[in-house]
Amino acid sequence: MDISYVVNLFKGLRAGVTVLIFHAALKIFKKTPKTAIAYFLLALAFFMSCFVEFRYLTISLIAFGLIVGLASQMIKHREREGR
Amino acid sequence: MIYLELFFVFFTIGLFTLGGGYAMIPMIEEQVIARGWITQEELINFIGISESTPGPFAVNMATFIGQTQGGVLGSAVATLGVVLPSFIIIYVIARFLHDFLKYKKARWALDGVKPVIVGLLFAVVLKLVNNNILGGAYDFNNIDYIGLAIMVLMFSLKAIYKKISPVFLIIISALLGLVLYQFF
Repeated sequence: MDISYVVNLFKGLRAGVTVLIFHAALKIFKKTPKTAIAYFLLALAFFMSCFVEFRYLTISLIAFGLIVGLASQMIKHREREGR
Repeated sequence: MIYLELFFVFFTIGLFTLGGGYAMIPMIEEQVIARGWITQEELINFIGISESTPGPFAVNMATFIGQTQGGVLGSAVATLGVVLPSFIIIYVIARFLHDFLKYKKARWALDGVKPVIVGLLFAVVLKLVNNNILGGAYDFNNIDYIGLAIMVLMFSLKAIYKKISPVFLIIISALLGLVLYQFF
């Protein structure tokens, strides 16, 4: 069998998978709170992932997101209670 | 030693995969591709295959990589590693924390993870576009217009028919690749 058929098949498949990943990202984005902190975390994760090479980067970013999400809402909550 | 490493790597991936199957792609890139167990091209090919076969992507991926690195035992260890964190966490939630998302603090923490996952996935998409369309070097003089056309077409299909099955989309894009690259 001509291997070029398989290569071409997989080239098309990769284009389809890229679209699926993009849609998955958009789907999660729709459920993301549209706050300044959320946009900051999104941009930080994007640029760090593009420009920083570090084996535990993703884990660190996820842990950072958990902490920042929790801390920012706790501060907001306390401010609201204080008023 | 490879079994321990497989278990540890997939346990970590399972533990930090929040936000659905695709959210694990940046983790796999970082942990598995960096170790040279698979290439990014193989990963994307495998996502396509995995979406078209039964079973969750995470389990399929762990089984596949475990097999390539450590045979049957390797695949068993990797699969156990990837499912164990969710088993433990969901068991604890089901046992002790009914209506987990009613807990404000859990919801707040997860709200912080969602934008991170989106940013990481956008970065993966950018890398894939660079590798598959721009020849891996952001070379805008050498654009793969066929790949780009397939992407635009699939994106439009997904935007118009929101409920379209990913399997169908993958099959269509693979067939388009087969035909278009052969003749143009």
